[in-house]
Amino acid sequence: MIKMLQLLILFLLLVSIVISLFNRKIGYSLLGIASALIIYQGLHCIFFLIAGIVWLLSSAFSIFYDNYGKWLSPLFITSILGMYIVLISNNYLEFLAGWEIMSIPAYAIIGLNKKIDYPAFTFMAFGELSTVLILSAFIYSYSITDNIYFTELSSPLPFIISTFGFIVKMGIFPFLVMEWLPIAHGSAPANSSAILSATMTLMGVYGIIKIASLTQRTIVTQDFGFILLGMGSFSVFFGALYAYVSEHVKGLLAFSTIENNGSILTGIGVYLISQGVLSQFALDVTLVFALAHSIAKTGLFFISGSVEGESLTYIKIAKSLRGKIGGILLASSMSGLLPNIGGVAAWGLLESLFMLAYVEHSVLSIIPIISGSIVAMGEGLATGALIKFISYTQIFKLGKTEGSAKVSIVLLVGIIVLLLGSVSYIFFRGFTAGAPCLGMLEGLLIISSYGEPFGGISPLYVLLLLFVISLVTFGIFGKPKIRRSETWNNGEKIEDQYSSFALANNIRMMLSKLLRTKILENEVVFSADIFWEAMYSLAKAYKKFSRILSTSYMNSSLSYYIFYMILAFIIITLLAVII
Amino acid sequence: MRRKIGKLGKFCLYNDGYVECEEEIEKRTYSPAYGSFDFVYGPSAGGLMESVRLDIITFGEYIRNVIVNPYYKSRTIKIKGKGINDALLYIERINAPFTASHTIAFLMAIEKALGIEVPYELLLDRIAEIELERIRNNLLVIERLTESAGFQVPMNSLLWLVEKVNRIIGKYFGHRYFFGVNYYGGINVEEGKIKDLEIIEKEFNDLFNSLIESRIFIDRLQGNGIIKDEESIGPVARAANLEYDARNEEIGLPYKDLEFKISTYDSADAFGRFIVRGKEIFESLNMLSRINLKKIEYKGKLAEGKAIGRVESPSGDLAYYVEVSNEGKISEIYLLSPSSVNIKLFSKSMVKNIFTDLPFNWESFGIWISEIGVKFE
Amino acid sequence: MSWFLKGIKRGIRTEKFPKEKPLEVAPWSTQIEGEGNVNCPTNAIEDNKWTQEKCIFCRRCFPSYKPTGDVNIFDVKKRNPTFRKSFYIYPIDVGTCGGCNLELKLLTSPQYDMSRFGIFFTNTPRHADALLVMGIMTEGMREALMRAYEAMPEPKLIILLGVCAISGGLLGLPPEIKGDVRIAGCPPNPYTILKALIEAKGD
Repeated sequence: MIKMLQLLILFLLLVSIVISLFNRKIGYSLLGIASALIIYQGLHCIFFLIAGIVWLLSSAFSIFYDNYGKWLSPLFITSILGMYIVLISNNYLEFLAGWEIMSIPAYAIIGLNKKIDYPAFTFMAFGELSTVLILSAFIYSYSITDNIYFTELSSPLPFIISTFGFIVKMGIFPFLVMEWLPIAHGSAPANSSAILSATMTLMGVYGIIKIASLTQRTIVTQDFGFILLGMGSFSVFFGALYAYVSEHVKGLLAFSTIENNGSILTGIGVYLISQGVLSQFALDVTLVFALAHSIAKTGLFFISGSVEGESLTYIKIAKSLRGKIGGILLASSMSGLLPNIGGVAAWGLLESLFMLAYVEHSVLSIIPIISGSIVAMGEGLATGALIKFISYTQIFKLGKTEGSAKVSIVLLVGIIVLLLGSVSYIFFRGFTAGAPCLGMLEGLLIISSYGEPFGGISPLYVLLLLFVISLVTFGIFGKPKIRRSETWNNGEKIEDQYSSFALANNIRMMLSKLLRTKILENEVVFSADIFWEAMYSLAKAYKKFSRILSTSYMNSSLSYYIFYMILAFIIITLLAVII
Repeated sequence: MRRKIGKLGKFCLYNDGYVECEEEIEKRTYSPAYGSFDFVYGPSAGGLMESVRLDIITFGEYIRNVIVNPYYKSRTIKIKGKGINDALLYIERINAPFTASHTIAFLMAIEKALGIEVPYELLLDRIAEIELERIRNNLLVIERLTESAGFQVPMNSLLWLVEKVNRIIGKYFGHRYFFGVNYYGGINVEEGKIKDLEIIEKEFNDLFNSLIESRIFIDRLQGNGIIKDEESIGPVARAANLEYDARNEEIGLPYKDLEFKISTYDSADAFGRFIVRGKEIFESLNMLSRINLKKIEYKGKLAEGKAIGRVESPSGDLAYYVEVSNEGKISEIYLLSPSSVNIKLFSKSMVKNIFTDLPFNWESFGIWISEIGVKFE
Repeated sequence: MSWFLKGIKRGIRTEKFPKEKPLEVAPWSTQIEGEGNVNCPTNAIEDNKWTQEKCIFCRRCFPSYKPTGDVNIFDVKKRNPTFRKSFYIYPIDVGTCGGCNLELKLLTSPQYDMSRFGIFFTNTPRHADALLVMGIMTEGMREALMRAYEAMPEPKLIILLGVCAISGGLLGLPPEIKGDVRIAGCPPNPYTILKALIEAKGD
């Protein structure tokens, strides 16, 4: 039955690629149908659910959005096809095939929209670095198990190597460059940014968890968990910091993705270090975090697709009530505020870090505590970044007021994020309880637990209380009296001047050592990423290393991308047939 | 040593004379830059004592440029064709905190133009007025600095002193801002030595020394608003170790007999201006202790003439150029107010500083907007 | 900490005004009495009658007219007991000589300490109970004054401080705004201002 469904979805995706070459709207619609089927499949596996929702929304958005010529839609759908293959793969080869089918169209999309040379190239260089790491991990596990299918691994080495491969794809510290550069500088179209940011990094998470579940727990995996904890929390901090100072509409969101991936990685770290109930809780939290991030980020990228221009300071916007409500819901979810799903995820992550510190009860406890505080600090900066984003794309800036179908999708995503919070109980099987003395029904309280209960939260009740309190206030005091008067601006008429650059400049000045801020007469220079230069020189070294390869397909010429893609596709299909 | 004081109507005023000169329009350009915006402060906002608009060009935090517009409350004063004593009523109301300086500079111009010999005791009375005004103003400037720092105890103590000085002025001159005190032909004053000055000296000495020792306070001032300009005047010049002081020059007031000593400092920043103002309070108190107030009159006369009168106001040189017609009416009048010079220096000194420095630097110049925007008709 | 002790050491320096008589008032900011015809530049004295709203205290009428030392030269047309406990004032300078500004500021000095009556300055008209206008009307400040008035919440009081704001005094025309409280003087004595504000807030 499942097999049939998978084949049907694969068929639909392939058909939609072909059709989209001729009519993209029909192509996207078919993709939407396939995505709906994937959501159905996701009732059993959360990764399908997340990916399905994101793809369904993206396909709907793309119908109104895509005017990028005939290449975007087939490439976009092919990339999704690759991700789907990754998800359904049950052996290394299929996984790798999917991985490449996912990555190569992404290079092409970025290459197609290039304004400058290096984004696509850098993206590709690091994408392939990721593949090389994953491939070597797979070859090694094949050599020790003699089996091409996913089976239990006795050595932690393949897990560690492949994890680094996935981390590169997720743009984790210190591989930040990988994630933001292509999106920011290459300005991928918003729909592609959404799937790159939300689901391509999700595949990394999927890969890590998949291989982790195959690997036997030893002291090595536990120690590796601590390393992931550290890398994760640093990514949260740096991702959020760079998001806050970023001026690029999509760059800001890309950095925020890094921040979220850092949180997810921290969750995976706890999952690896702990045992039993706590490990299960950490896994649940990681998955909920991935869900919360992917969906909210998709919505935010849709907002970035509805503005004109790239710099937050100078963009032209169209305001609408739908966009405002949707945007605020999305931003608050990303900031970890209840009753959104993001709030549940952020709560769970911090709880699991604190529980880990409590359970360890040794000198090592200090690591989760420090990670926890860095994560909390990063979340604070992330809130600032999202407030900046939402203010300058919807609320604060003066702009013409108009609604559109695109904005309705943003509102829809916002509502999904809100409602998912209240149904998040289903993701915490075995961690729900009730508190009848507080009038809380059985099953409506999520309990964080390491064997003993540690803390609890009830997103549904938060939502209900918000409604109830508002209604009671309304009932008692009636309609609020509103007097509108113009904003007081020192006795002058209002001028819309405060730039988003200025909003974040205090941090640029305060952390000038870290951001290497330099003030020149007519500009403030800051390194948006202190790791960027190191990474860029690394990328150049890689280019030198594989000069022949790079001259053949890294010159951003479309035909080479297509050629490479088809070649990879044929080889992989052949391999699949042979097996 | 010849120094330029500033623009007085169509003239350029030097410490030893004046020549007709063209207005030099100083152009400081700044090009638009990414993220830079115009932060508007004023014309009407809390924290400003008078109506003035500051356009702070900034990326946020770092100040690229400050454009000061003092012309919001610019007043037109219909003075031409008025008799000397009628004109004085208008001159008094140009800038109340500096009224003594304004009226005395104006009267000195008139007296010089008409060739009147002014009695020595009256000149001493005038010095007493100007020095009392200086004490009040410098106390107020230091109070504003502590207020910007949110330093409640010294702030209130200094306000107490300001009010105390105001009451002393009110007691001896009948009006707290010297309105109706000076007139063409004499002075309205209670005779005698000014009492209660030692209380001010003692209290201020205590406060001043404690403030200098307060690290958190002087950190806000040191290195803030550095300006060393050959064309600066008053405490701004003296804080940059330039010995510019009209009291040291031949302006017609016998400061030399009171053993006036110039106060300078060498840091050229807001801290230097704070120190210079503090030292000047002691110097003024010292001079006041040598003065016995006397009610003196002199005989005016009807004649034609033109001349310049200049005094050292609390914020620097203040000069009037007056032409009197033979009916004893004012036919032409120009004003060089210290604030108009200081406001340019302020904008210049603010570049490359940060937002939090702005209130401290602004207050350290002791600018009064009311005397800048005045147009004579 | 040392500053705190210094503050304590200095003791209370606030005067008992208005319960007790004001100390050391400068004579030429108080009520004027006398008789005879004099040459008054603002026509504050006409037909042996002194009008406080016009007087600029120039001493031209001396010695026929003399100051009495009475500081109650203000006129409260409307008071509002709503502000009895807390009275926030937004001062706006529409063209002063700086005298009113300084005297108003001195209300915060320890001698007067207006905050003991619940009177405070606020930094924006949006939080203000009263708009305190000083100076003659100048072109540049017309718009700001109008905006400040519009920005204030109801109920609001308008206080005119000084002869310029009430009648234009010597220099020009008064601002086009109806004053609920009119405080005479050029500039008004802090005692006068304080007393007027206390009455305006309904005490």
